[in-house]
Amino acid sequence: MQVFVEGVGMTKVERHYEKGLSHLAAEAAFKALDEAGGPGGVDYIVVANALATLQDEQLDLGGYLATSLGLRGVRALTIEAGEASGLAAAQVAASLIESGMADKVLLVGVEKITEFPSSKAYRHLQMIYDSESRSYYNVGFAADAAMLMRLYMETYGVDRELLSYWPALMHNNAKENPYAMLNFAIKPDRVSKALVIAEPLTLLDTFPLGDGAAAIVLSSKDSSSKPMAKITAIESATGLGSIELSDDPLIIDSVAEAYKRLSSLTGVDRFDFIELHDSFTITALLILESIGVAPKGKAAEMVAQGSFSPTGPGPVANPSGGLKARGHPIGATGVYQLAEASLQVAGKFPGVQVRGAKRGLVISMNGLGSNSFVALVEGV
Amino acid sequence: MAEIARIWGWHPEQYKGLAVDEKAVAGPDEDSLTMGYEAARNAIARAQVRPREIEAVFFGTESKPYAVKPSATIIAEALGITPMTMASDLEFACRAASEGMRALTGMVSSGLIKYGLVIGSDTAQANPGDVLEFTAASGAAAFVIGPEKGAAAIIEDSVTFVTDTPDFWRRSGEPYPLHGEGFTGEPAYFYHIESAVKALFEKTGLRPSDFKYAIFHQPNGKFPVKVGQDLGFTLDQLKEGLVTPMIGNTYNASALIGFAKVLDKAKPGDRILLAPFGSGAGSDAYSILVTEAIEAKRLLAPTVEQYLTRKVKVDYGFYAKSREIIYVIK
Repeated sequence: MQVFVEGVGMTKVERHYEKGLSHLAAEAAFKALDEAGGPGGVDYIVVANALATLQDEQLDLGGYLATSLGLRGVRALTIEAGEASGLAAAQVAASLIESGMADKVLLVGVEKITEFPSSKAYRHLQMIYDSESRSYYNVGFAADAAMLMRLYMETYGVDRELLSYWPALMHNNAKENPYAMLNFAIKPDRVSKALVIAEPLTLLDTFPLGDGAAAIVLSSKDSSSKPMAKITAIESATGLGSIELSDDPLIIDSVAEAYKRLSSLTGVDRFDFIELHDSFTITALLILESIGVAPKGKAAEMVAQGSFSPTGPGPVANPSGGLKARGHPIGATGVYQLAEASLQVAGKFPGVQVRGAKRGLVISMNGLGSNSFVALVEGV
Repeated sequence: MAEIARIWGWHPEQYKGLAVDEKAVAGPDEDSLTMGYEAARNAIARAQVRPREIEAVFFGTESKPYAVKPSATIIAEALGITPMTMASDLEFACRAASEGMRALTGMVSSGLIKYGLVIGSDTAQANPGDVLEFTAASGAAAFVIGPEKGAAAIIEDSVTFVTDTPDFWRRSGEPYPLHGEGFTGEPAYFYHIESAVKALFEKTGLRPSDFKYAIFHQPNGKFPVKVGQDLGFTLDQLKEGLVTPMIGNTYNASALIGFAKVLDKAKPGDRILLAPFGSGAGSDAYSILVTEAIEAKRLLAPTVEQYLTRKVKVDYGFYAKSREIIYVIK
């Protein structure tokens, strides 16, 4: 696969009380289109979004955004895969280009989650899990992650405090990121003392609720003039996405499988950085172990030792600050990750820039891995 | 606070971030009327006016016992102010009483009335188990507004800043209010107070350093300190008027009790910034100058400090009974 990134745009992840979906999308999209030399030649707009039908009562978001962005007439698609919507939409956008159906695609991820009090948002977020085995039995949003966290600690004999280095690393990375929602540092010892969401998981083990939009102009080699990055593979796999059905809940099967597919396709297994889906501290650690950059049961210790820090041996994990601190505008997050990875390999990321970054891996998943996507982003 | 956390299963650290240690709860035989009456009686004692000289009574509350039927008349009657007086209840979430204070300054200045009484009183409601329950408290403050001569303090200037911002509300027929969580912060509390205070600065040419004290609406212990510091005030200017950490958020009385506490301490010539806020949303900003008359008036009624130390700790069961969270089906 050779799909080129011509421009990216992002809004700060924030509680954008005064901006709706189209306003947020426009901010990001116009910036990306400007960088790409204007909207001329855009064949498709592919929109990644998870919650617009529930939060904004909006169907066919792609169609309406095409018009509100001044692109009336272009072809439009809206892609939903829960939290993984962003990379799912990127996979569709890249496929359109690879297949020759499009030369240039505007990929927009947008989410507005703070339209209502959080009780409503969490009721909607609950839908990322299997409704038949979860929601009907009122297993809360963070409950599965908390159970996994406990299982991880008991199985590997890992102390709670060791897990606290991940949120601290994320907050530290996000400090300089102008698009990050939580750009302040925290010390690891604050994590276990924060408000308990579901024992042993605390508020600082998870992401803040925020709105945002990210956009990327993707193109084929033919129409690409001054690309900043290229996407050389996007793979995906579905999985169980549940603890009790899994043979080994401490491996996220879909992430492992998607990554296996990507590396056998590209032969690549070393990266300068990874932008991964740390919806909770535990999901970050399990992803690192599922793709083998950390041995099983060792990710927490490696994080604490600085293995994934900007100054560590690498790969650098989430130089953006990740879902934890950059924020997680659900359906838009994958597009943020892809935009950040593109800026990294172009040497233009405005926050923690990984020195000499040439190759980055992006990992996004829904829930606990019902659907996982991985993308390889390389410099040009 | 620990008692509320215990009952509802909140994490013991949950309320620490609110910077409120205790909250005041109205007793089983108290409501916004009785508390308002007590505060008004103290205010009249200090004002040294005859009740009949008061020609307007404004009662600012969001917990009045009657949905229809003025509470202001009950208090006015009990104080001997009726019948030759205006009397009405005002509603603007937590700043209704402040609106009354500003209206009275106009009515007094125009010569329509000689004295007016404004009361802010609330037995603040909160949905049991909601985070709001940590801070929703009971309390009252009252002020007599009259001519400059003999006044303890002079309202030099004031501004009001309101918008339609639904950050906190209670629909008709609902027992407890709802709130927009984080929306109550930046777009509501901070935006309106900062806008009102900046407008006052612009109008008067005054700066934070011109004030000895600054008092803001106090929904918790954190917000008033942050808004004050954001506006350029120091902790020294803020701390005297900060009462929420000891008594919780008394809604309409919140900033006004802080103001009363500052008046208990202020010296002639001190300038005070007062900025109440109400959800929905709006804020007033007053510049108030303390006069020589303050010293003599101070002794004529109990001080805020005396009320703060006069307390009995109660458990959640007693609180639930007093606030009619539990009640006997009749």
